[in-house]
Amino acid sequence: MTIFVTGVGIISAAGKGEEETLECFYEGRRNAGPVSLFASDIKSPVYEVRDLFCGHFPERLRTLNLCLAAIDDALEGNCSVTRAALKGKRIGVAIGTTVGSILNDLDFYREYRKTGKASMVAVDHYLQGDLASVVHSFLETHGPSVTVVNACTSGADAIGMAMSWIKAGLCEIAIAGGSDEMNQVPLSGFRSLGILSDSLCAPFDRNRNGLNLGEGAAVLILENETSLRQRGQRARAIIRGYGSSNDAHHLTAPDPDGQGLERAVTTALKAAAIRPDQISFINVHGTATRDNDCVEGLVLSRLFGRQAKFLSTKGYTGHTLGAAGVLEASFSLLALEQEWIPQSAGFSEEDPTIGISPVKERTSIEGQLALSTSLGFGGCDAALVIERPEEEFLF
Amino acid sequence: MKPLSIEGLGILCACGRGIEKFECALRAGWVAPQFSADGRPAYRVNTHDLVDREVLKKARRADRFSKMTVLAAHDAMVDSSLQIEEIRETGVILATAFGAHSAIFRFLDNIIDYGELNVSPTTFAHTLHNAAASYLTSVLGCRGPTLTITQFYFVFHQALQLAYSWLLEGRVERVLVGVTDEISSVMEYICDEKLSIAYDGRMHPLSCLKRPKVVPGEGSAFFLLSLDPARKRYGSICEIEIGPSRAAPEDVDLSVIGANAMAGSEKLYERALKDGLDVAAYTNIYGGLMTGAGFECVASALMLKNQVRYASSTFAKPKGWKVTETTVPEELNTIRCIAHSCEGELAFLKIEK
Amino acid sequence: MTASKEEELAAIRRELKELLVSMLAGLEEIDPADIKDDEMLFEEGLGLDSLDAVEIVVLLQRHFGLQVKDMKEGREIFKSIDTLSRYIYDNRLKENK
Repeated sequence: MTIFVTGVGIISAAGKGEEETLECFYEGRRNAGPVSLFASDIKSPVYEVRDLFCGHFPERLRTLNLCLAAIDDALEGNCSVTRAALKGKRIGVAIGTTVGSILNDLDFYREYRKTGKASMVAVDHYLQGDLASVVHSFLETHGPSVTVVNACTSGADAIGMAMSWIKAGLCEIAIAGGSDEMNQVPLSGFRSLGILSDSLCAPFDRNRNGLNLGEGAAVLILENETSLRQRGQRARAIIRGYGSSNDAHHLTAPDPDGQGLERAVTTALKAAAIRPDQISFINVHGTATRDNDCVEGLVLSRLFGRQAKFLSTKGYTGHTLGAAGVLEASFSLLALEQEWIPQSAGFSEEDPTIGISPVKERTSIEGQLALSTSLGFGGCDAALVIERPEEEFLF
Repeated sequence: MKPLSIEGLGILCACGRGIEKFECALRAGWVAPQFSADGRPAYRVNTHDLVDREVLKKARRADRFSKMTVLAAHDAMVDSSLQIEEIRETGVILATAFGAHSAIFRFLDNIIDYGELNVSPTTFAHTLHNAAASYLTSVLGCRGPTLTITQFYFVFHQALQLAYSWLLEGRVERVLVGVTDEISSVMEYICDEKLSIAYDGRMHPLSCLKRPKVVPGEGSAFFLLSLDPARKRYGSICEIEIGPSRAAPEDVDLSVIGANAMAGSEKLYERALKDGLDVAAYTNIYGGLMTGAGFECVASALMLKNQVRYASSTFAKPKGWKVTETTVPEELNTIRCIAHSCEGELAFLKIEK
Repeated sequence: MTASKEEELAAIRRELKELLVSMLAGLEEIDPADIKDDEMLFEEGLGLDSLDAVEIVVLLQRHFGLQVKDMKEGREIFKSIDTLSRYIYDNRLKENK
């Protein structure tokens, strides 16, 4: 069964929507700066979304507001599906996140610790804030509903989940997304792990020394052919394959052999029924930590050879955790449409222990197929094959 | 849908670790909860049930939430007698309502006590909902697709639907599907504020109360599932449905209601099941959990295997249903588990022998 | 080595062993006194891993007020109780000057 993408919504530090994001990529602009959303002594640059519209929910529910902003972008912008068309319908909603599903309000907890009691406002927000459920309420839809909390592969896994639902006949349309806000818990947590860089991140670079955190959200509207034909609309892309695997190795470090990632990639390629040499480019996870880039480099070399064209877009968005997989799948889709990929921001010198380099400048792309990879804490690995179909899929 | 064969079961809750301990509690019909120093009752997992040097060798850092998960999942695997090569390729789906919230509070303790520059990286790693699944895959050696999902309502049902989708598409041949939720003092306080606690330690799941009282619970339950009827040991799941409040079909021998006092009024069970039907409820064994449907499913699978109907403790006259207050042998071919949300939706799980 | 320096080092070694056992998850059953001074902390010996290494960095910050700026430097310092104690002793001295 073919799974079509009929809508894309994106929001990150690189921009709100496709136009702003492509402009940012084209110019090679890196919108990073010190954290401004909360007080912090942590010096690492972060990628925050400026002037987020929080009209639907209170400002403190930032992950939710980011998610809804991405949905607004998808449904009001470029998508052939409208809100009105979805209302009352059965659809699937799978949203990936890390921060968005956690009761981590410091003020609430401080008060509780001090007195044994605390205001329930933060708790109420948490209980009302389950992302997938809220999206269903927001759109007045019903159907399969899951918030994926698989660390940094959550977004990619949400896409995989939505595909599985559609193939199993549980729904014909699904929204697969990811969203995460800039938050003190992951910022201090990643720093304690020694993998946060104090300067702008440099994925795959010889001198890379860690990641930068970012915030953002993205959604893809996925449909089967029946639904597309009924609506007589055009698809923008096809998700040809999805693969996921687990390293069964360590809580935070990836398996240095990369076997888990290799399994995820080969599963995705097999599902897509394509050879590695048919992939035009790869949007890698590329966090700029010593370990991640080493493992990805090893697997890329093994599967695609040393000439593989690849980039990390985390130099433009930071690591957006649960949103990363969907943002990067969206960027891959845009790149296939535009026929170029931006330079892999932050890279300048090849690491001889990795032996391959991402693209150093804006690069033309030929071909129809891209791969997007994600790795996450807990040994999670995910890969997606995205296709820009040759003919117009107009039904 | 094609039936989902239940090849193995594992369970860990206040009654102890393992199927036998759970069956023992089911036979008794009611297990008294523990009471904390400030008088709050809860069905807490005993610390000694989380000790297993052999199984947890590769999970030395595992916290309580992770230990519950690993041990229940391990037991389900052992119960199914899977070979090592089969275990490697097994998919894993862990469903939770509140996740590892005690790790979050420990991390917030770090920020408050030591500052954001001196927090523990290990504690941070445990704040991620999927840390438990990570220990599970390391201990069992599962390298297939592994997902952790969360929702407040019906997350077990969503996990089953996803497992079914994976099996149907041939992504994997087997899936280890489970639920874990834990109690912490903060959560008990929140329960006290948001819900009504049963300070006498007794829940009334069969009374369809408008404002039911809860005794919070914790634990983990795992199922090894496949589409292979030859490997089924506890029956199969043949219906997974979520929808608006409605009358349940009367095509089963027994209905098990998941009245856990965590989702508001339980009157919709009255509307779902008319008088005279055979009904049971077991939340007085393991307490109120948002993921209680997993435990109801274990109870149902055991009843179908053992051809016995376990006692439902009532404490008060239940609605006009046929309820047995002692455990009796009974011919059972099908059981439907029913759960509800605070928005008046019902979820059905039908299990057949 | 002067007697007082050796005494101080011995005190640091004892404190370190207690802290490692209490702060690093999963070592609760080890008696701190059983950890040898020259025992390898990583791989063989105590069998600590990369997550323990960053936990030790936090331990040094919290309890001794010391920063490990570079984990490459950390690899040598964290070899054994001996090397870690000497690092603490030497850098505490620097901080106190």
